[in-house]
Amino acid sequence: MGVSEMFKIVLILASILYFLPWICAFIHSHINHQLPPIIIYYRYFVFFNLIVMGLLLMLSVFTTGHDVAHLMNWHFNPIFEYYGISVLSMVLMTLIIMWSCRHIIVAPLILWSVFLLIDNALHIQQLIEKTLPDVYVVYEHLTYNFLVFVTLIGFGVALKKRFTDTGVIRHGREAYTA
Amino acid sequence: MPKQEIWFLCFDLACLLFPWVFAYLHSKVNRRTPRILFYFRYFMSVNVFNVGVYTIALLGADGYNLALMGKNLLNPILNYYVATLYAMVVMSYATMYGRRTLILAAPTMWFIFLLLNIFEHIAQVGRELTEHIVVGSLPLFIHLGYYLAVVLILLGFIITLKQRLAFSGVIQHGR
Repeated sequence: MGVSEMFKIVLILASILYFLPWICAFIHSHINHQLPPIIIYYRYFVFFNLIVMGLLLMLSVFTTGHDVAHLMNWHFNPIFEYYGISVLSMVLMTLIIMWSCRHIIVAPLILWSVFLLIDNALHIQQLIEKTLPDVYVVYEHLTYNFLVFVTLIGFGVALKKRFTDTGVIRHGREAYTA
Repeated sequence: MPKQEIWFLCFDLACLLFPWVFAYLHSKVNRRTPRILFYFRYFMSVNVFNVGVYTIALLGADGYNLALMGKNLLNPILNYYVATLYAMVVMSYATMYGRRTLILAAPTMWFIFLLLNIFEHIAQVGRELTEHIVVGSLPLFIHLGYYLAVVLILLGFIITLKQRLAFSGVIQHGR
């Protein structure tokens, strides 16, 4: 696969993952008036950009890990599997708690923002050290990570305003009068 | 038993036992905060620190050597693994001092992570037996024992904290 092909695939995938949740959430929020729109938008965004993205990342690590280990003259390298496991645990944790309407709902947001921030730092380091063959793919990753990070922070701020004194997000009519 | 294995065993045992002692002493000094929070926070800090920070430090120290051993100038996977662990540790420390449901996020994630780690370690033991790939059986068994103990304790904490949060969504303080 050529470098430009890789660039196109990453671009299409990143665009789908970033923009599709807004469309789905818009349609869903017009059907379901019980849930506050912010929750619908947040859940769709988290589903596409944390769960689907995390699963893709985990799959790529698991499928290419052994080849990479072999390329590096290692008979076996468990690090790839540990990386896959840590991403999978982040995905599963997100999947379990994103349905809550209590404070715990912001946990994946904190986790993923920190991860994206460190990931961007690593990408910048890769750009400085010139260790990757396709620089434009790294720029794409950087842009995507930054966009998701900013959006997650926005969701965090919006969600925090929604909590009542008891730590529950307002539902139904309450959601619109708050 | 080789020195490294004894070190692993002592370190894991200390991580399992010390939090209870510290939490007990702290709860005797400060009676305003519920005891469960002391036990939970001490246990999480020590064990998140043990698995997370220790692994990060190990990879940070050995990552480049490992990459060089593999005739690679830089292996980004090592760095990304460190990044995920950093994110998990930072999230755990950021949420475990809350008094609302957010406090349950760190044990839930750590529970899943350790459970997956247990499966991975069992798979590694299987690989050693079937494919004769030597990863080092004894530390694997020590890790397995440690992870099992932590997973069970975390499950206990999750259940207890959930009961405390069930009605008001906030853990009650003082009398």
